[in-house]
Amino acid sequence: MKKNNWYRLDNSGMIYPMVITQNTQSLYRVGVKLAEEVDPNFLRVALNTALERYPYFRVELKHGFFRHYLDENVRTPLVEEDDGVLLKILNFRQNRYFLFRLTYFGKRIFLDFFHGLSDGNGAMEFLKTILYYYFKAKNDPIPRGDVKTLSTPEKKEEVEDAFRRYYAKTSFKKGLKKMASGFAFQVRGKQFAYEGFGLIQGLVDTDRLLAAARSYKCSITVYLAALALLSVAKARGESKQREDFVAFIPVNLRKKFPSGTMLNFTNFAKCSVPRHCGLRLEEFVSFVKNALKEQLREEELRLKISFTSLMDSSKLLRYTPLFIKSFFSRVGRDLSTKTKQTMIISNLGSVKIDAGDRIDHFLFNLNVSERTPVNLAIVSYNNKTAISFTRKIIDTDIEKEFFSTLSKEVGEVEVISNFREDNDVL
Amino acid sequence: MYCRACGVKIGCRAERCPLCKGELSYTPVPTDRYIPPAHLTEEVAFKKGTIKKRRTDVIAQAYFVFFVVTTCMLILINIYTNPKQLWSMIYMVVAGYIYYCIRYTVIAQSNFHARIFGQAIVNTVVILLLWRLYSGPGQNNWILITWLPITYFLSELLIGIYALLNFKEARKKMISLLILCIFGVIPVVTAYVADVSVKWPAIAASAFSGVVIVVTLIVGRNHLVDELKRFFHV
Ligand SMILES: [Zn+2]
Repeated sequence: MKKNNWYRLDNSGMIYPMVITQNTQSLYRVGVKLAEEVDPNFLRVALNTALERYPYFRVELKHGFFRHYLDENVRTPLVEEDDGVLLKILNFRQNRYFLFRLTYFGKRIFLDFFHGLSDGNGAMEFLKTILYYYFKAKNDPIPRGDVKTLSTPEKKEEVEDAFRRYYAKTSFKKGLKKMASGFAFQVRGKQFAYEGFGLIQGLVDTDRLLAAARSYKCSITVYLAALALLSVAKARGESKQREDFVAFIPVNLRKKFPSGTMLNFTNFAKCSVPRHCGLRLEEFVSFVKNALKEQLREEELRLKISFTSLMDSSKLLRYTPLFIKSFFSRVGRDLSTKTKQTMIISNLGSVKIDAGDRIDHFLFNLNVSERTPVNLAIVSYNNKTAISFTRKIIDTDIEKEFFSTLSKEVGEVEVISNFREDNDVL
Repeated sequence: MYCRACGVKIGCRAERCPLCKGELSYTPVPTDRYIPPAHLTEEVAFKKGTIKKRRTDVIAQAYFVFFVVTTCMLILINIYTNPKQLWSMIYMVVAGYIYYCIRYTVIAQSNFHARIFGQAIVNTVVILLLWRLYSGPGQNNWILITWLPITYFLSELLIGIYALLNFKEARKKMISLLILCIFGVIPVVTAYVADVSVKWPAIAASAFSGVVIVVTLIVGRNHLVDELKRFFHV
């Protein structure tokens, strides 16, 4: 018998395994498009080497009595051709119990990640290391930049629960008031009957995008979030719903609260735009910009961090058996039919790796749910920004509105789609 | 390829615009120049996904509906015809057990030992329920004499063999095996409480549980504390 490592789930990651069902898992995808076709054999070598550097991703999910935990998984992970079904549910048994899935198709490499394991930043770091060893195995020049390799020593900090570190006692009521916000305008429409989400990705020039954002005196994230909400407002203007348009923007807390953690360390900022305001981008930008600025204040973030640590800080919740906690989390999720956000808009920022032209661009896709059926993910590399809409509904009117406006503002937008709608037969 | 209506370039092989479903053109603006058909050279960005209709789920759901409908019908018939003898309950327990098998053993994603463990526990519940419904104490209760001991004997044996075959990972099965073996007293306790006519199978099964506990503790003594720590961590 071998002695194995095990890891605690962080405070934010804890909730995801509790709400896994047959049809929903919290998965997201990071990926990359290379200049040449992907060679699966080198990719396999790269993954196995990268996993040596990230032992905390070489794990399977286990049920403890009070909470889930991550237990070392000694099996060999699969590297297979992508089957084209976007963010398909991980069948743990078929996936050898790993909580991620590495696939490839043509020139693209996809890494689907379970949110309980880490957030987009952690997954992207892992992908960078895989790429590093992929190019190394191919005998190509090794990429430079901020990449974790076997020669960069593993820090203890990487598996720290940063929520715990920055936890400060706060009033429960105050936190709840902040977190339990009102409902939001919901994107409705006929949904795909079976698994697999629709994907429409637009590729734009980062400099031009930045120039466009500057012309509204805001950041790329604010600009694209405002444009996305405006597209919803324009495409779904006739809806009788009275709720405001709300964008949930994940905030990478590592920037404000120094931590080298590879686990989850993000929070949401809620940016709303009144339901009946002028359909002008300037107005949407100003609402989103002010809301985001307000929520990026340190006290505000601290309050949210402490509230997220509730599972850990409350004795009652800590000592409640897991099956009871899971039951109530699921019931809570199933009971509410309204949504708190119109759309989740996540910007991973620019990926820091230097592999020149061998990497064309990086890509990032978010999960969608029945109540939030259209989400937006953004990532940039080498002056190319990939803006990806994932959707669970058949209609593409929001995307059409978004990209046709964007092309007028920043010039050429190169659009690709997985044409999921062609497949849906009920 | 371009969609002039949306004003975007289409970067993958496509028959129509992914945004507006409109026709595509070879150039962003009308031109007289001959342009070779680009769709022949443009890359296929994603594999055409074959969407599975989750047949296993459908079977389990269909069975569940069948189970609920037939159970309700039989209970109604039972109450109208002979309310003193609740034979429909036996159907409910057995059909419910079959649902458990389909949903949580056959199509479940959990580990082999977790599924066997679940089967043992659910089997115990089913046996005890059937025994209460089917026959009273003191009678010749064949389910208690055979089924219950066999359940524990077989499930402990299966998990044990599975742990030996994957010896490197055996510690992961240790907690389930130990808990199961502790439950292994159930056959002998029920045999005496129900006072069944043949007691040796129950005694043998419970004795086997005891042996398995001892062996597991000896083999896994170095890992037990660690295993318990992670299982009960808060
Ligand atoms: Zn179009």
